[in-house]
Amino acid sequence: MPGKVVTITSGKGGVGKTTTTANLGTALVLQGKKVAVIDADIGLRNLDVVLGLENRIVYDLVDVVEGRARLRQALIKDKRHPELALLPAAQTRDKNAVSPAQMADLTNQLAQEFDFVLVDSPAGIEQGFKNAIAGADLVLIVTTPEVSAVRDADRIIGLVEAAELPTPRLILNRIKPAMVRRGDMLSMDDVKDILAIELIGIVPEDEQVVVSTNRGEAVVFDNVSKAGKAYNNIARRLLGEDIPFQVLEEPVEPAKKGFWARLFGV
Amino acid sequence: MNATGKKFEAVTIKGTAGGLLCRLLDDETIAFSDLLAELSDRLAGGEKFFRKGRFTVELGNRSLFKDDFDGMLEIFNRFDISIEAVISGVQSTRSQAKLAGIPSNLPNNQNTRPALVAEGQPGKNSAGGRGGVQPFDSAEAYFIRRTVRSGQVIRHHTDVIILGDVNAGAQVIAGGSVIVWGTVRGRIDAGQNAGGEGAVICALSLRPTQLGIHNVVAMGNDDALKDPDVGPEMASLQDGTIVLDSWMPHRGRLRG
Repeated sequence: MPGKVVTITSGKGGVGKTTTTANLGTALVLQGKKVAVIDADIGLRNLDVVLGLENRIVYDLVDVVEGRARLRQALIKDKRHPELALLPAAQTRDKNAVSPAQMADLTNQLAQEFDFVLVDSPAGIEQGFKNAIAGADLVLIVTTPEVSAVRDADRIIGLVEAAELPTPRLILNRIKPAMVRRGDMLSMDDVKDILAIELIGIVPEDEQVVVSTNRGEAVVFDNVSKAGKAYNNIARRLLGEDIPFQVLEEPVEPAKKGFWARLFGV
Repeated sequence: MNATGKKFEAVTIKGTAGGLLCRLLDDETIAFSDLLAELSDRLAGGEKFFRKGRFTVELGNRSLFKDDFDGMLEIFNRFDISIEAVISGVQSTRSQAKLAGIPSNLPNNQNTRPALVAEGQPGKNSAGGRGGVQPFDSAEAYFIRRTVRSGQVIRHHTDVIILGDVNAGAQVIAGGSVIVWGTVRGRIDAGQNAGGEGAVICALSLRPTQLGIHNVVAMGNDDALKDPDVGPEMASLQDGTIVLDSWMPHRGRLRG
């Protein structure tokens, strides 16, 4: 049975598509799956950097599509996790170097060999986005709890539905529980109310993500990191496990009781 | 909207899968010039809706001379309407179309299919499927069973009923009334037909960016948007202003 092609997209830039792709890919490998990640952001490639594989790029996606390299030659195996392979984007070309049909063909080929093919989509709704969803079996939409990101996510959901793909699922990224409690940030319910699609993950804001990203390591190895745990949970949900959503509420300090209160046991 | 006394309308306009279908009755007792006058009135009446539309024109078995045909083209041109095809049972009329560079067809028995004119997703939804639209004629409403999302535009020449939300960045343009069983966060323009003053906009939660009824447009009120839910509301035109009322069953009279 061929593997599943999952495209990670968002509409708005900077909400965490690439970080999500890298960590979800690694998390799926930790679950024992064979995973290929594709950087579809031609001209603005990042996924290689986040995965720490930048210096190993010889051939890229456009080389494969244009026949200068075979798919096998262009795939970079991660030495730390041999079950993870990266197909990097070309940096010197642009989105129009590839067509949706070529992308669908490429993801299809990879799906014969891998359990999961994750496609990291560029921001926007143009050719790059159309390429990224061309071969998708499932689309995951990343959004942050900001009005502009949610608005763009809504637009993308409409386009995914118009392309007659299954209804996408949502990853709510970089949520800050304290701000939500103060009413300064859209809550999970607000976002779900507007977008009306099923959630597959909530990732809390976590400084550790920046540290890991800069080092080219996935945050999913960090047992302490809340974001790492959230990505691991998304991977398991993708595999069909029923995992309750992490309770994001930071422990509320018990209210300090005053002298009189203690005295009278109130 | 239709005058029920009349046997047949000489000019009918309805939505189909390929755009709008305009039928000019081939009853020879009606002069073609009268038909054109009525066509012009009809188009002017729904100008906001029809302008820049794509039409298929059905002429039945009426035989047209060049002057007649050009006169008809001139009217459509006036409204920036492009004619996609001419359907005619008469060779002479079809050759007029050919001369004007318009594809022509013999009439077939295939019923005209339902329309979904959702810009930004051309053709995809038109064949039923997700849109789930039933065939309608000019008087029937358009029923949408999904959320209308940012960037999507729904145009329909009579009433529109939506089972879902209308999100910010989405737009609904209707000849008649718009009823939304959900939350309105985007823009709705109702009553765009001639005589659309009586159109209403109803929603379970009405928090639009803009609301238009006929030729009046109101902006969403920021404070109102922050209000906790006030419940179902109905917008209507009263003395030239758009007024919101609570949409209660005993008050929910729908006009238009």
